[in-house]
Amino acid sequence: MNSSRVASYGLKLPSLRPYAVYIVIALFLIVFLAFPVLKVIYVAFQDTHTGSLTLVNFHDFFSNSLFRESFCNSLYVACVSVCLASAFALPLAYFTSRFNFSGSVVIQTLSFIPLLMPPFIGAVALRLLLGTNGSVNLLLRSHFGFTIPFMEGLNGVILVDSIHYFPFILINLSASLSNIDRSMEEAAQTLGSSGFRLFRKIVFPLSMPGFIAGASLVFVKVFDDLGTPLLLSVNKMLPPQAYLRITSIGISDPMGYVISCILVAFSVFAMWVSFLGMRGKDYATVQKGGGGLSKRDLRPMESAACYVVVLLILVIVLAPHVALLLLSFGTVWSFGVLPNGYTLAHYHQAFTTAFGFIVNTILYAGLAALIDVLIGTAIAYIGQRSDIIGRKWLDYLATAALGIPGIVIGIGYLRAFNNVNMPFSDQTMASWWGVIVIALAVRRLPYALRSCVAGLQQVPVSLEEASQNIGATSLRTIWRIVAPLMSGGLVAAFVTSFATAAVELSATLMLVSKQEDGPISYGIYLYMQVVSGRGAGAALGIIAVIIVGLATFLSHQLVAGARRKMA
Amino acid sequence: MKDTQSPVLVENESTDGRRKESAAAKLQTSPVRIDIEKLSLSFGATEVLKGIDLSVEPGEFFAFLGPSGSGKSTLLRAIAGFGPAPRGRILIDGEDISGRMPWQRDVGMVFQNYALWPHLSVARNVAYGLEERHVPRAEIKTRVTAALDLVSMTEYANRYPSQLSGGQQQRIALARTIAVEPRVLLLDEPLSNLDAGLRVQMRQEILQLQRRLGITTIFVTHDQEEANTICDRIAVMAGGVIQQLGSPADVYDNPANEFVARFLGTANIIPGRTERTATGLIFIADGDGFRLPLEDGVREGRGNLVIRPQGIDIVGEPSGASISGVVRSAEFLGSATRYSVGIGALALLVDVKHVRGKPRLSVGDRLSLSILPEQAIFLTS
Repeated sequence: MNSSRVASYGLKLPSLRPYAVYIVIALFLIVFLAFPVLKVIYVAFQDTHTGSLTLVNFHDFFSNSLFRESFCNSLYVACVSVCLASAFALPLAYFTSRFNFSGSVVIQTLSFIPLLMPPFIGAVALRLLLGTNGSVNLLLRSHFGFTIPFMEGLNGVILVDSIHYFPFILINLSASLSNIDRSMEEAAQTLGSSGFRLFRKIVFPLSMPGFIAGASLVFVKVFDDLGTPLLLSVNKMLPPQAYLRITSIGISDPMGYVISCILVAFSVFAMWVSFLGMRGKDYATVQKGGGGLSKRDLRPMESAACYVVVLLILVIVLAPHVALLLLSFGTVWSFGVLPNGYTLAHYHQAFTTAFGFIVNTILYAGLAALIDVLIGTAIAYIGQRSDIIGRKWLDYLATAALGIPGIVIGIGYLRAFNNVNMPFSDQTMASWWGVIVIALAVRRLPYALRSCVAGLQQVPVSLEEASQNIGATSLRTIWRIVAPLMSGGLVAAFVTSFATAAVELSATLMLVSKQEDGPISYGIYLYMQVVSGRGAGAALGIIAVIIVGLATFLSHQLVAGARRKMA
Repeated sequence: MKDTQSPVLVENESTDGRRKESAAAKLQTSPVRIDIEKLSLSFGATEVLKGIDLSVEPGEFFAFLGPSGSGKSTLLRAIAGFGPAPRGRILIDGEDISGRMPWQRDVGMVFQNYALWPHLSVARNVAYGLEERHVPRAEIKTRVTAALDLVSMTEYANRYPSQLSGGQQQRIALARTIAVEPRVLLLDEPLSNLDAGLRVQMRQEILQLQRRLGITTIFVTHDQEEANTICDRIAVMAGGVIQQLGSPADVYDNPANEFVARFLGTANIIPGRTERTATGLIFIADGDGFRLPLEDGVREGRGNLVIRPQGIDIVGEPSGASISGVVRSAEFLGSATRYSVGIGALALLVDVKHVRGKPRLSVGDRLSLSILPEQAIFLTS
């Protein structure tokens, strides 16, 4: 005991160890993030024949009417989706932050449900509900003699995407609203301001940063979404065009790379707008003990009106889930308001012939989440507690993955690793299942990293210093003090990664080389494309939602439990 | 702190004063009185204000003084129209405003955290209330300039709140409120977020501003020094009830109860009883304590004797007639030395004025104390 304590005095975390960790992580990020993306951008500017740098590919792209139309469609869909998502989110955020409204809890809980499920899963099911011959239009036609083209062409993509992504606006806007101190509003009231004027001049501008953050996120998500247009057979948009070019013509066709470049450019642009919106506008004005805007009780009539609005929105928001559930239990559902009969056969199929997809999903998402937690913790620790030169750069590099659409990662991996042979097999690295795991890990790392950083920030340096002062080495301190204290953040990081990786489609779709290697999202995509497979596809979709929901619920329990213990 | 560079300290005192006088002339209103009648207020089941009755005279600088949880801020917010609806009446200039919404009251309030809107510039913050009142644009400009002149912040018109120090934000919050020429000015712990030196400077500035405008003002604070130095009258509050109302000196000298005596400064509070003897009324401390003749007009019975530490004199060596005691401890306060003097089981705090070179008594010294009857207040229990 005594001797080991004496020995550890001189050791003080061997100074080379953090550098080694730093270099390993940096290499990982360079090989699997920077290199493939730069490769894609480089190829877009490269002449296919001579290999020299040129703008001719972009000229070709914009002189092709199909691509021009796809570009305009993508832009149009993304913009209209932001508007529609805002229309869903604004009233919900406003009601919950301003009124003592018993529906608030319902809103807060139910409005997170769309996030559990990526839009492509519900797309086909929603068409059965709202399509030209869907339940609603059948009813409308028979009773009123007209139909509404909810799901016609681009409308379908807009509706499905805004239903699924509006919570991003709701969450950010609600956070902004609850950060406004009550006195901000009261000061305006004593100066004679009230009602809508007060909202327009004080409350809304103060909540603007949150709204912009949410809206730009929705824009990027919709702009990059590959699965929804593919499943709704809307091919005249940028991501499906890129996918089709690469899969049908081949990875040497430059158009896929040009589209990738445009997708990256718009993602970066949207993130920049969001950054501008936030910069210098730290409007969080809540004082100690204060909290959010003052809430008032609703009169019975107002309350009823609020409930009507909220219920209407929730019905729309939950429609894909309800339709998916019906589809998964229905025998035949075609030209009918409801399925003809109900059966468990689809679930049986999901757990027998399609079981491989489920196993793959848990394996891939679990491994990816594990990688994310390890790398995330290391990056967070190096960034906050070491004095390595450039210690923040790993964080910046990892976070940059936020701006890279999944399809670009997929194309980049195909291009970069197609000629790399895996040892001990005849596969190339691009067709190896492990590369899917790496793609998932890289794509989800930014989210996991934020949880790790937040977890570490909750551990004051003095707790570590106290441990080292008593004689524990740095590594022992990390193991015995830091890790247990940030366990909440680590669990949150693991689950966020796991849950979102489990239903990722765009990179996966590019990288799955054979059906046995596919995860559940790939399975859903395959089954949903053929009419006879929809039931099983829906059953897989429900299973995916349950896996993700369960993981999220468990993590909430664990994090809450850990917090209780420490309080 | 950036405040040391503020124009107040740099500018010539008299031109600054003249400019402020002319600015104040543009923002003056005729002072009004405030009457609060039987005001009660509850948060759910807890009663926070219990039948408050008070009047604030026109142009008066009035303070609600009390510890946290005494209801002073709740009372102020009730006057501004915030919080749950109270029972009772609030009259401004004889007019009951208790049913009105905050924006219909014409009551200016400066918030503890200043509540400056971060997305609006200083000038826009100050202009806000005038815009809401649809004041013509040219007049808005004059009044904003006048308000900023009054708080010496004219140069900062185009800054944003986040670019200002705490003291500057405080001035802007004041300017924003007085620009609309409210009938009443309410200040909710306006100095609590400033550091000690700035607090002393700001309270003088607030007083000057109030005198220039002549506006009826209510100031909420938990700091008795703040209330004593700038207010005409104070209401000491505790437990949702006004404990005592009066001028600071009056309340300090004649506390109505033990709470007020303790809350305003230090006091020796000695339990005992009064008795009538041949020579007059005397106080007999409990236990083996001392006897003290009191002024006439004091009621007989049990109660507490209140004596301020500076109301007791040390008269030297013990002698038969005086109260004798032993020095138990001493605190050097700078302007005085505070001795704790033991008299039997009792300990009395005694302040002795300190001047340069004055020798101090040591622990264990025996001495004799003298207390003049008018320095002792008897509160029957």
